Amino acid sequence: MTISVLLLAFLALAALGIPLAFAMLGASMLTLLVTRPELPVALSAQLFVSGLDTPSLLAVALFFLAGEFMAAGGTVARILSFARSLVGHMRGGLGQVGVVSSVVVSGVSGSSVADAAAIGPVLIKSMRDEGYPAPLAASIVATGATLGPIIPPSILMIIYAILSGASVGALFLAGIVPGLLIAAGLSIAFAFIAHRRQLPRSARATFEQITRLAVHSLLALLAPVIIIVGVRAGVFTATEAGAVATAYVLAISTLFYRELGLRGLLECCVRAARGTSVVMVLFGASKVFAWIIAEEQIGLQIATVIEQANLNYWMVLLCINLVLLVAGAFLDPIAAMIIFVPVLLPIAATLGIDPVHFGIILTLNLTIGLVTPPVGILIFMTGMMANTPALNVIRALLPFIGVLIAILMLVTYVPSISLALPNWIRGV
Amino acid sequence: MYRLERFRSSLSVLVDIVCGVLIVAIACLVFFQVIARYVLAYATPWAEELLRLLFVWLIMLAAFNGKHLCIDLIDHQKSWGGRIIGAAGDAICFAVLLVLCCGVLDMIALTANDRYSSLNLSVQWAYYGVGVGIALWLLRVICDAAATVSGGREED
Repeated sequence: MTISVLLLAFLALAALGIPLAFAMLGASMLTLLVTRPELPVALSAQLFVSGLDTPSLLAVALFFLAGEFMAAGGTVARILSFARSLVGHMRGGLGQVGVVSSVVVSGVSGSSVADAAAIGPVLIKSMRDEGYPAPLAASIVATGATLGPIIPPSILMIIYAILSGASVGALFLAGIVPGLLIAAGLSIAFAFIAHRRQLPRSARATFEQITRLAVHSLLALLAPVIIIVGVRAGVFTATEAGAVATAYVLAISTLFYRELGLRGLLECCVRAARGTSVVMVLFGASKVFAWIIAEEQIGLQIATVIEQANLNYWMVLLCINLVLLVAGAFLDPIAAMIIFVPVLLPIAATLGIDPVHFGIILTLNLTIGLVTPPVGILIFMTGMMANTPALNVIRALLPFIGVLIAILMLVTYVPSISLALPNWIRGV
Repeated sequence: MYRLERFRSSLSVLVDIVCGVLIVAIACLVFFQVIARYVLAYATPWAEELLRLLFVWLIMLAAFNGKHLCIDLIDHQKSWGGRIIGAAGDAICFAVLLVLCCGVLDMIALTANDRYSSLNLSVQWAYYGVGVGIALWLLRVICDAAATVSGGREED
């Protein structure tokens, strides 16, 4: 009864097009009113504020800020130049530049949208100038940007860690190999397409040019290393790593590259504040939603059904992947993460899936939703940048989505791909 | 209607500036904590509490101008049906905010004796932040509803 009221009310409110935070709060308030009228009104407010008052989620604000400074402060331009000197001479080299740059930029920013906004305008313009088809240019930037939440730091992983109790450091490490696998897969797929379409090559950079560009971009390239090593070595918490990354990117953007003025600085701060608020209000609303789910032991009930039905481990994982892929196609990854973790985590525990591995599966699934119709935000964003209709971008995206799904299956069924690195560093 | 929109846009600039200052203050405080711990070997529990308080205020104030996530299955501008659904959605948001506001007022009364131990400040300040945020959001919903009805709403 409770779950039916909660889910039906949520779906109905979300379908009306009201913000998902209100849909969650409204559905939760209605459910409490119908099923537990004796509870005080203050309960919803208390749970909502307890969600906002989560100190570890300060990291979200700080990584948003670091990503904004990086996009506006000239760091990305240097990373692109360096990547171009390394792989630009290959056939369709600019596509490879997109993949390499996405890997590096993902190492500082924790979100796909920030990555696409940082890399897309410059790279898509360069590709168009060299005669690459617009949908192809948009599609490689869009799929490259999906690395944002997979390669650490990742806002999505921080939220999963808070919801599940898994270690942020272990999750960050677990994302590295799957992220690099995706980068390799995209690179190979783009190389095939480039050969088939005879895409142009850039002139090969000399060793001197590569060295000079490496020196110029060295400060930018150091940022991901500082974050990952700092968090893993226990020097900083994820929040402190966010502050160090912000201070570092700000320092190199203003003191060395000198491309971030006072006005740009204020705009970055405002965008980061708004982005943080959107995520955190949703998180606060999810606290009320999750409280009802926990009170009714809904996750446990589903887990018991799975246990009693004696369902196959592989089949359950496949079902979870399908559910998440479909959910990711309609919902923003952060919203989907907040909704699905309380329900799916007990199932994963019943099946004996490591919570870190499960976090990577969830992150991969929901990130793929960013490049699948109907609401894949990266499709529309890069389509606008390339000035081409979304439908053309979707067609060009198909081989890359195939690569992403193939790697998702690999990561799902071979846990050591994600767990080997954190286990090795922990000395397991 | 025009005056309401003008008031909203002036307020929105002011809120943006406050949020910009708040996020810079938060980043500086966290950075200070790192320096204090490793360089000065000095614990800063007050900074932890101040951060929590500032973060709540930041989230609620920035929500006024944020583009909140929603599922855009229905165009609220194209037809009368869409506009009616849009107005109904705004009414639901208004009702949810009012209930939340009542809850926050209750919590302000309930936490009258709770204090942040290091800051020696009442926990009510966090709820005041939520209250101010809700008031701003109510204003935004009213503006959105007026724009939906008059057909001039800009979709996020």
